[in-house]
Amino acid sequence: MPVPVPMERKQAAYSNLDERYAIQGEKYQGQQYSHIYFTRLHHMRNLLHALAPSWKPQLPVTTVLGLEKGKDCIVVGTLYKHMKLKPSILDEYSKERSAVPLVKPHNFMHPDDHLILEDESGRVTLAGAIPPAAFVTGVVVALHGKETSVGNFLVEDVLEAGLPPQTALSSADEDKYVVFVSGLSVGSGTFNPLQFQLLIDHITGHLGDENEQTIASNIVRVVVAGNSVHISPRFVNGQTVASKDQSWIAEPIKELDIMLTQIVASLPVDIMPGCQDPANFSLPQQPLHRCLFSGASTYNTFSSCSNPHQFELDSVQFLGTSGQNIDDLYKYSDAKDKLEFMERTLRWRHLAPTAPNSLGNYSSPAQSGMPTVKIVGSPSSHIYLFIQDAIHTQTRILSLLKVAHTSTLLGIKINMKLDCWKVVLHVKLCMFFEHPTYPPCYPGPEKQKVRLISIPRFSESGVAVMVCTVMHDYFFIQFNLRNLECSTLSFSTSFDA
Amino acid sequence: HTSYLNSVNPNSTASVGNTIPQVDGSSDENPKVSQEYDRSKLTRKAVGSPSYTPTKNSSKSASKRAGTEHLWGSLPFSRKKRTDQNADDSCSAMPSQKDLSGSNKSTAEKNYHDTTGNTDGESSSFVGVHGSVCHSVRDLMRRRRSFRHEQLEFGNSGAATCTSDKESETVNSGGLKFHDFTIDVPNSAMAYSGDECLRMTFAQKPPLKNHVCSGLESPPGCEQRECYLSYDEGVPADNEEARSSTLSPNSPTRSASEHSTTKVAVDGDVMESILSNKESKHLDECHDFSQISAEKEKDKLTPLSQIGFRDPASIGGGQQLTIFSMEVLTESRGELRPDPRFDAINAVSLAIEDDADNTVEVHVFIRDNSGKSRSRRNLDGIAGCNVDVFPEERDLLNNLISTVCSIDPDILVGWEIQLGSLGFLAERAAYLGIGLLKRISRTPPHEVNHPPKVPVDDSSQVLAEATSADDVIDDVSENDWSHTHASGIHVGGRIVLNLWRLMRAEVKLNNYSLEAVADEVLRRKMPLIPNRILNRWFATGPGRGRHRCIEYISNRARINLEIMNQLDLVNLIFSMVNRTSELARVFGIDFFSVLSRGSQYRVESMLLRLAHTQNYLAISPGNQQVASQPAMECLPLVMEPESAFYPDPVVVLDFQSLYPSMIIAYNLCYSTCLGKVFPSKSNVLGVSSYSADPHTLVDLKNQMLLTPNGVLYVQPEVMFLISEQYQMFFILIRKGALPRLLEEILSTRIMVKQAMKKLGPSEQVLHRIFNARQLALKLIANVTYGYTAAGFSGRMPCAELADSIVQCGRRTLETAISFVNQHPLWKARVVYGDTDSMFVLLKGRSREEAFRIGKEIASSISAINPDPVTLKFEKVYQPCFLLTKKRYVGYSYESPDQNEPVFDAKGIETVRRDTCPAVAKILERSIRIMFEEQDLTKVRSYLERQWTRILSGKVSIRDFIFAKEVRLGTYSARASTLPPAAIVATKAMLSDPRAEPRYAERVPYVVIHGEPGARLVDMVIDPYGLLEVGSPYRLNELYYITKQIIPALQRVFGLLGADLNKWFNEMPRPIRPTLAKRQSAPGHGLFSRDGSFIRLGLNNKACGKGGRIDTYYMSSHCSICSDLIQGSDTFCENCLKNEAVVATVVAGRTSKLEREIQHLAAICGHCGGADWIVESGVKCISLACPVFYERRKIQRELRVVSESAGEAGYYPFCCAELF
Repeated sequence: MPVPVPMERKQAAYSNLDERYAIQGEKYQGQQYSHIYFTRLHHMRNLLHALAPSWKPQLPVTTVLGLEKGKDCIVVGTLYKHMKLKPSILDEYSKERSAVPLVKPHNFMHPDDHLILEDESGRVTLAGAIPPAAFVTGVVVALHGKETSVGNFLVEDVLEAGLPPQTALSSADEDKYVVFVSGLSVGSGTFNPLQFQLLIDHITGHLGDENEQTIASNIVRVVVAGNSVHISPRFVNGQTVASKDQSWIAEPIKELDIMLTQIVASLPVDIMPGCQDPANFSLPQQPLHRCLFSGASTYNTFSSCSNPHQFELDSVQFLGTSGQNIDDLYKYSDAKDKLEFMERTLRWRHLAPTAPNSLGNYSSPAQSGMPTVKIVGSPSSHIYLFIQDAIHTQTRILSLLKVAHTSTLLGIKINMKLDCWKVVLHVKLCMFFEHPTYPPCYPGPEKQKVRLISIPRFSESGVAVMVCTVMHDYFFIQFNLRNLECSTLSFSTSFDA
Repeated sequence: HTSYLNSVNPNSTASVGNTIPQVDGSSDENPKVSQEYDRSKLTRKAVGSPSYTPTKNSSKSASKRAGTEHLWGSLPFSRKKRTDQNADDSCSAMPSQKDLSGSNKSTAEKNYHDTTGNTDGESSSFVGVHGSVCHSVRDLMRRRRSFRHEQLEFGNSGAATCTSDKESETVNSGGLKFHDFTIDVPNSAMAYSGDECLRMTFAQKPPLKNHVCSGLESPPGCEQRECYLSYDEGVPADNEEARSSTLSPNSPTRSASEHSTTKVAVDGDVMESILSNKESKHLDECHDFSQISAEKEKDKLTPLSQIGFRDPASIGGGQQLTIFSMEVLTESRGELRPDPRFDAINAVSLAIEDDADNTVEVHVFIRDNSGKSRSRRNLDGIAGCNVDVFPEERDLLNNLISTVCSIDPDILVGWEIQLGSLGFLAERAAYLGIGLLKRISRTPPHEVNHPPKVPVDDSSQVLAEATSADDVIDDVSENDWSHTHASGIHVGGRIVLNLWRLMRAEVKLNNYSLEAVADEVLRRKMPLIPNRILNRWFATGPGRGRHRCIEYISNRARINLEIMNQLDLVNLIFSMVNRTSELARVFGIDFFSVLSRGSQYRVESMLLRLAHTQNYLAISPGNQQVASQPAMECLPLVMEPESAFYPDPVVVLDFQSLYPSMIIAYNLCYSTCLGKVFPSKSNVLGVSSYSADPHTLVDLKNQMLLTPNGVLYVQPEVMFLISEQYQMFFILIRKGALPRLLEEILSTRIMVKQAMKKLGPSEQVLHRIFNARQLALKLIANVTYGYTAAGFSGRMPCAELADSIVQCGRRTLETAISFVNQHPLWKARVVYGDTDSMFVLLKGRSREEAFRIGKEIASSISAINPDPVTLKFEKVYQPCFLLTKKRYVGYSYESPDQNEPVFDAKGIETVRRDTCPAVAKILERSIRIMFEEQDLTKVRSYLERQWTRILSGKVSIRDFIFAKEVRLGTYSARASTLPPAAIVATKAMLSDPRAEPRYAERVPYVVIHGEPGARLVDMVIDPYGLLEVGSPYRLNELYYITKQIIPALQRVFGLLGADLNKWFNEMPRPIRPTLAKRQSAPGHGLFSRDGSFIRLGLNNKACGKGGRIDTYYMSSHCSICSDLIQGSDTFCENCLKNEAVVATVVAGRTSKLEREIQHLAAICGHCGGADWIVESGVKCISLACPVFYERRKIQRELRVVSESAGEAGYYPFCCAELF
C-alpha cells in the first residue's frame, strides 16, 4: 500500500470587504428615508445622464416638470409601482401572533398595476413599453418617450444603468475552488447529519480517491451562506424559556459548531446570517455572535460575516446575500426564474431596490451602504450569488449559470449506499449538459462578466456549489473550462438493499 | 318626437305622477282631473308675492289654488321656505272653520281683482296650477277608495286654506259633471302640464331636443283650454266661481289665443338663447328657469325640456340624482384640529356620481402657490382623478363654487359635514369673505343676480359677500336641532347629508369613523392619517409625498359614495338616497324631512290627507291643551319571565303588527270615539272637550264597542232606523280614518309585495324601489300608535284612544296567554310575554313537536281574534336563558329542518354597545359553550383561560375600548357626574376646542390603572394615550374583569348557581411576562410620539410626571428563564453559563418581532397607511383597524426587547422608525 503523498491545500489571498455593511453600535434616531431615495436618484442620475448621449444621442434630457406634450425626450427618475391589487391580506392575518406568517408570500402582481416615474419635480404615470411586472418601486431608470394628451408618459425605450466597471481578473494558473453551502438548518427535521458529514469529509479531503482529494485540496474557502441553524419559534415568541428547554436551543448550535470546527481546522470558513438565523432582521444583517461558535471561533480561519457579504479572493470579487432581496423582488414583480431577478438587480445596479419600501433595512445612508452598494462606483463583483429558499433540481442550477462565456459545469454527486450496516460510498462526478445552449449572455457596457449563482438549500437538496476561481482547463472534462466555472457537490443518501 | 308621444300616452298617467311628492300634500287629487297652468301667467307673478294665485277657472271644481308661490315653494328644498312651511303645517294646518271661510272670502276677492286686472292686460287667463304629482302607491290606495276627493292645500304665506264644507258639497254634487268634461281634455296636454311642474324639481340639464317638441306641442294645450272654457259658460257654477267667470266672460278665450302665439315666439326665444348661451355658466340658466324673477323684457318661459319627463324610478331608472361628495384637507397647527380661523384649505376633493349611469368622477383642487406647479399638467401622477392647482385659496373656492353650480348636484355629502367637508369650507370661506353656501345654492342671493361669469374681484363684491358670510356663520350654528340631528348646514335647493350621522341608523357600530364604517360596509380598510402628517406630506410637493395626500382625500370622497351605494346592494339595508326618495314618495313629505323629521311628521302627513277625503279636520291643540289632557293609564303587558335556563324547547310567537291590527279590528279612531263611559272629568276627551249626544248613543246602542279601558267606539256598520213605517234601515259605514289609513297601508303593502314577486330578475332597481316602498309602509303602520300617544311633543294626541289601543292589545295578549295555558292537549306554559309576543315552554317535547304545536297555537289564536289580528309562529328556542324583561338569549330554529341554530340574543351584553367588545365576546362564547356542552366546568375552564390571557396582557386593546355617545350640553352642571366618555371628551377639548365631539358622537375611552383609591373617572383616558408606544399607562385588567366581565356573566350563569367571583378568586394569577429589566421610560427618544395622534394633552404631562410607579422598579426576573435574580442583572447565572442560548433567544426574539413589524408595515402599505419615501414608518392610526393595535403592541414589545438586546450586545439597535 503506497504511502499517500501529503497534499497541500492551496492558499488564496482573501480580503473581506464587509465594512460597509457593518453597523457600529450606535442608535439611529429616525432618519428620513427620503435621503435614501434622494441619494440613490442623485447618483444614478449622474450615471444615466452620462450614458444617455451614447444611448439616444439626438434626444434632450429633461425632468418630469419639463415634459412637453408630444415631444420625444429622455427622463430620469425613480420608478414607483402603484399596485392596484390589494390582496386581502387581513383575511390571512391571523388572530394571534402565531408561527405562521401573517401574509402568505404569494405574488402580489396584478394586470392593472402601473408605474409612475418620479423625480424631485413631480410624478408622471407611465404607459407603453415598460412592463410593470418587470419593475419594482425604487429602481432608477432613464426613459425615452413622450407625453400623451391625457398626461401620461408613453415610454418607447428604457435605459438601465447596467453593470459597473470591473477590475481585470488575474490569470493564475492554479485551480482554486470556493464551496458555497446554504440552508443547513441544523436542528430542523430535514437536516441530515450524515449528509453534512459527508460534505465535510469531502471538503477536508477525508473522502474519495486521490483524484478527488486533489480537487479537495484545491478548495480554498467555504462559505456557509445563511440559515445554518433552526430554532423552534416557540422559544423566541417572548415566552420565558425554562432551563429544561434550553437544551432544545443549545443542541443545534452545538452541533453546528462541532461540524464547523471540523472544517475550520483545515480551511477557512465564512459564515453569513440568514433570515432564520439568530441575527437581526433588517438588512444588512450583522455577523452572527461569536459566542454561538464557541469551538470554531477559536480558529483564526473562522470568520463570521455580515449578510450582504463581499470579499475578494485572488482578485476575484464575490458578492452575495442570503436571498432576502430577491425574495422581496419576487413578491412584487415577475420573472422567469430567480436568476432573472438577480440579473435585474445587476442591471439596475442596485442590490436591494425595494429597500426600504418593502424590504427592511437600516436607514442611515452614511453607515449602511446597503441600498447604495452597487452604485457608488465600486467595481462590480465577478461572482454574484444568492441563497435560494426552495429546493431546486440540479438542472435548475444549470440554468442558473449565465455567464459571458460558454460555460459548462461540473456536478459532483455522492451516492451513499447503506448495505448490511456497511456504508459504501460512491462519489461520482457527473456532468450536466442538459442545456448546452444558454440564453444570450448579458454583457455589461464594458463587457463585464458576472456569474450568477443560486444555491439551493442543502438540507433539502443535498447540493453544495463549487466555484473555480481561476481560468484553467479542467483535466477530465473535454471542454475548455474558462474561469469561474461552477460545480455542484450533491450529497444524497439512498437506502437500497 | 316619438318619445314625446309615448310619454303623453294616456296610460302613463300613473307613472307620470310617480314622482317626488310636494311638501304640502296638495297633490292628492283625482288623477283623472288633470291640472293645467299658464306659464306666462306664472312668469308675470310678482316676486315673492305672498298671496295665492287665485282660482279663477270655474270649471275646475277641485279648486286648485296653488299659484306661483306654491309652485316655487315646492321646488327647491330651500331652508327658509321649508321651515316656514313646517311651521305652517304644525300651527295652522287646522284652522278653524271661521278662519277658513274668511280666507276663502279674501281669496275670492283677490280673485276678482286679479281677473279684472287680467282682462285689460295682455296676460291670459289663469288656471289653477297644479302638478298631478302623485305617487303610484298613493294611486293604488286612491283606487281603492270609492269616494270623491277634495283637496287640502297649504300655502306659503301661512294661511292655509281648506276647502270648506260648502265647497266640498258642491264638489260632491257637481263632481260627476265636471269629471265628465275633464275627460275631454286632451291627454297630451294634461301630461304635459303636469310634467312641467314636476320637472321643475329636477331643473338641471335640459336636452335641447325637447325644446323643439315643446314648441310644437303648445297649441293643443291652448285649444284644450278654450274648449273647456266654453264649457264654463254653460255650466252652473257656484257663486264665487260664477262671479269671476261672468265678470270676464270673454277674456280667457281671447287671451288664450293671444297667449298661444306669444308662447311660440317665446319658445323660439328660449331656443335661441340656449343655443347662443351654450357656453355660458349654468347659473344663468338656472336663473332663466326661475320664473319669479323674470322681468318683462326677458320674459322667458320655463324651458319645455320637461316635456316627456317620466319618473325614471317607476320604470327602474334610479332616482336621477347627482350626488356630490366633498372632503377637504386643511392645514393644522401641531396636534390641534383644523380651525377655519387659522388654517387654510390645502386641497378639496370632490367625487361626483350621477345616479343615471353610476359613474364616479373625481376632482381634486389643490392650493399650491409655489411657482413651478402652475404648469398645465398635473405633477402628481395620479390616475383616475382630475387635479387642478390654484395659487390662492380664494381661487380655489371660487372654482369650487363654479364647479358646484355647473354640475348642479342635488345632494351634497360629506362624512363629517360640520367640522370637516362643506362645513369647514363654508366657515373658511366666510372668514375670507365669500358666501359659499349662498353661492352654491340653487337660490342664489340677489347680488349675484348679474351673471357671475363677470369676474368677481372688486372690493364691492367682497363687501357684499362679507355680509352674507355672517349669515353663513349664523347658519352653521343657529339651528340647534338640525345641528345635533341632521347636517346643520343648509344650501338652498340642495340636500346636505351628514353621512356619519346617517350611518348611525344604517349600521350598528361602536365607532362611526369613516374607517370603521368602510370596514363594516365595504370590507375595506381605510387608513386614518393624522392631519399633521398629511400636511407634512403635502408640503413636500409634487415630486415627493403630495400625491399621497391627494390619494388620501380623493379616496375619502369616493368612499363616501361607495358606502352609500354599497348599502344599496345589501338586501336588507337600502341605499340612503334610493330609500329616502321612496319614503318621501310614500309619506308625501319632502326628501330632507324624511331624514330630519320624526315619525309623527310622517304619520300626520298621511293621516291628514286621508282625513280630508272623509271630511274630517284634524284639531290643532295648543301645548297647554296637550299638557292638560288626562293622563295615559294603560301599559302594555310585559311579563317578568321565569328567569332560568330552559333546556326544553321554547316557542316564540308574536302578533303581527299588533297595534295596527287592533286599530283596524276594533275601529279605533279619533273619529269613532264616543268618549269614556265614566269620564274622569266631564266633557273631556283627549285634548278637547266632547260630550256624546245621548240620542246618538241610544241610536247606536247595539253598535258600540266598549274597550277594556272604558271607552266607547262606534263600529263600522251602523244601522239607523229611518222610517219605522216602512221598516227601512240605513246602513252607514262609519269607518274611522285611522283604521282606514292602516288598512290601506297594509293592503297596499301586500300589493307591493305581490308586485315585487312578479318582477323579473333583470329588474333589480325596480325591485329595490318596491322593497323600499313596502318597508316604508310597514314603518308607517307601526308608528301610527305612537302618534296617538305622543303626549309630550305630540301634535294631536288622544290619551283615551292610545289607552284603548294599548289595552286592546294587552287584552288580546292576555287572552292568548290564558288560552294557551289552559289548552288541555298542548300542556304548554307561557313563561314570558312582552307587548305582542309570548314565549311558550313545552316541557319534555322534542323540537319537531314544538314546531307542530307552535303552529297550532298560532292558528287557533288567530282564529279567536277578529280579522287582521294574526298570531305568527316565529321560532323555537332550544336551549335558552330568560334573564329578565326584554333580556333573553337562545339558540333559535326557524324551521324544523334547520340544523345549525342561530345564536339569538336580546338585550344582553353581546348585543349591547354599552360595554366593551371583550365582554360581548367572552359572554357569547361562554353562553355558546353552555348551550353546546351544557357543562359548567367547561365554561369555567374557558373563562379561566381568558382571564389568564387578560391578566398577562396578551390581548388586543381593541377589545377593551368603550365607546359611548356623548351629548355635551345635556349633562348637569356638576362635573363629577359626567360619564367617563364625556370626561375624556372634555379633557380633549381643553387642549383643542375643535375637538368637541359632535352631538351623540361615540367617544372611545379605556380604563387604566390609576393611583390607589382612584375613582373610575380618574382612570379613563383616550385610547391613543394608552396605545402610544411610550405610554406610561397600563390597562386596568382587574376593572375589566371584576366590573365588566364578571357581572355580565354572573347575570347569566348565576341562574345556574355559579359564582363567578369565586371562580376568579380561586384562579391562580399568571406572572406578567417581563421582557425588559425596566419599563422603558416614557417619552424616550425623538420618536415616542411619532405617528401617534394624541387628542389629549396627556402626553406631556405624563412625561413630566414620570408616569407610573413601574418606572421606578426593575424586574427581578431573568429575561430568559424568569428565575429570580439580583436586581441589576438581566440574565441569571444559570442561563449565562450557556451564552449561545442567551444570544440565540435574545436575537431570535428581537428579530421575530422585527419581522412581524415589517410584516404589519407591509400590510399597512397595501392599504395606504404607510409611506417609506417621505416619512418613514406607518402613520395610520385608525382605531377601526386591528392591525393598528397589533402594530402598537409589537412596537412596544420590540422597543423593550431591542433595547435590552442592544445593551447586551446581541443585536444592533433597531431602526427608530419601527416605533
